Amino acid sequence: MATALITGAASLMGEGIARCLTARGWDLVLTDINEAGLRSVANNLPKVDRLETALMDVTDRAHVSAVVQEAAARCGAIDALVNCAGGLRGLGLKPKPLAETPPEEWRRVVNVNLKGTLNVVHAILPVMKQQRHGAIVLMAASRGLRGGKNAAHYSAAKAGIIVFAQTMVLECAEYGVRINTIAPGNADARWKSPDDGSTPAPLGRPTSAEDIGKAVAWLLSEDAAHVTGACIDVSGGTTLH
Amino acid sequence: MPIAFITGGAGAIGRASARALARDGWRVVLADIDGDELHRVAADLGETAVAGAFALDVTDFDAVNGAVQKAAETNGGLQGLVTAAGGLRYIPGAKGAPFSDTTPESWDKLIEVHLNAVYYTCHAALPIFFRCGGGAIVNIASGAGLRGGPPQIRQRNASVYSAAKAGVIALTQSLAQESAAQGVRANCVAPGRVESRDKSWEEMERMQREESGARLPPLGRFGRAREVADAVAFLMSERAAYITGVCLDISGGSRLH
Repeated sequence: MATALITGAASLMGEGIARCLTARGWDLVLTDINEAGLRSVANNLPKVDRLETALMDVTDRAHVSAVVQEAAARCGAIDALVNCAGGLRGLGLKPKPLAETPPEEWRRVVNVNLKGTLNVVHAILPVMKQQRHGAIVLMAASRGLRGGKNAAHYSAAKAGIIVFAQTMVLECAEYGVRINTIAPGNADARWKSPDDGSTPAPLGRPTSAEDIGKAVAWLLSEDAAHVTGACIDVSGGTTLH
Repeated sequence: MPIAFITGGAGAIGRASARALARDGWRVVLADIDGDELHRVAADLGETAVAGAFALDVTDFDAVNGAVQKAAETNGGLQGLVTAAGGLRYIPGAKGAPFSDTTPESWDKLIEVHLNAVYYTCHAALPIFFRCGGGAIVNIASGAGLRGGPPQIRQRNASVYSAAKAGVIALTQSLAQESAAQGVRANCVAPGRVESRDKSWEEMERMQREESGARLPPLGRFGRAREVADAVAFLMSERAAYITGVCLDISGGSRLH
């Protein structure tokens, strides 16, 4: 069976993606910086043939590379990568205007979201190059399609991910790998409370982790065999606002 | 006369922007990492146009803050900012290799110079703009940041550069929204293939002759730095008073390819 490696798997979105992939028969390697959260997600998933977990800090290059290589060696192949590690409030940071954002917060958001993505993709490419197939889905954001208030760093990092994936299309195509991004907007997260006061999406409800999971599952599937370099807006129409 | 702070003032787009702004009635404070070239540019522009010159590494947060503060103090305020520092002159090996073959060190440098430094500079200027009742910002992004990769093969080996420039565009959109109420407009320009300090116009013209028609921009030629500068000057001016958060594509139509 095919194996997918998911980063940021302890997040609500990571869990939703894992759930959708297990339902479609994928084996999983779940990684996250949060060990307890990772264990809890793994324990709650339905049984699959192979389910592994590994601690991963996406900002630690050497560590990312080691985890990916070990997982590839154990599983025989990594057929898909879903990079879900990232965020703003999930990192314990409060949204604020650029003028009030201290440099350490700016760098932290860029390091986790953008450089973290570069680290993970750089680590997986040799594996997929060798196996001559693979599919990559990187989590961008609605705010990466159009910058948003009080999140210039997050918007910048996510816009960077979308364009980075576009630049990688040819390099990936050479060895049979597709690379796409998803731009969630108004998405549910563990740090959100039910009455968060956020404006409802045109489709009238928040974006669920399962909504994202289904989009990921499609991009990883044979149904999307001719889709690469795309950014799928999964925001219930929020991005248009 | 309004004062504009220009980073990368010794580069092709920076100096052309300085000239265009001076023509439109601004005085400019120039900053560049190449102090010698900066002083030649300043001398060339003349004292009427130049209100200050700083040898400055834009990746040094404190130094950027210090220079912008000093520029505002010396001139009794600051009304404009153009962030033209960038390019690949000081980053060896950053472009021209597939992403797989690049090093994390080159990514760090690319992101620091092309994205983080834009934040450092805007962060330094904004409080002054807020105090002065407003201001105009133009960040120099790139066509590479509007869309990465095929069929513009040239962006293929510039993954992280493209990502950083896309970041600048989104940063500018965020800034435009959150600072509008304080009278700040923020826009960017996305130049396509234009002359630079590393690629003179003569060299660009030679490349233009050698390039097959299909790979040339629809307008059939590459761009001059002054053509980018004219767009910068427009976005900085009162004529653009109702324009914020846009990214002007200045690529001879390359984006349509």
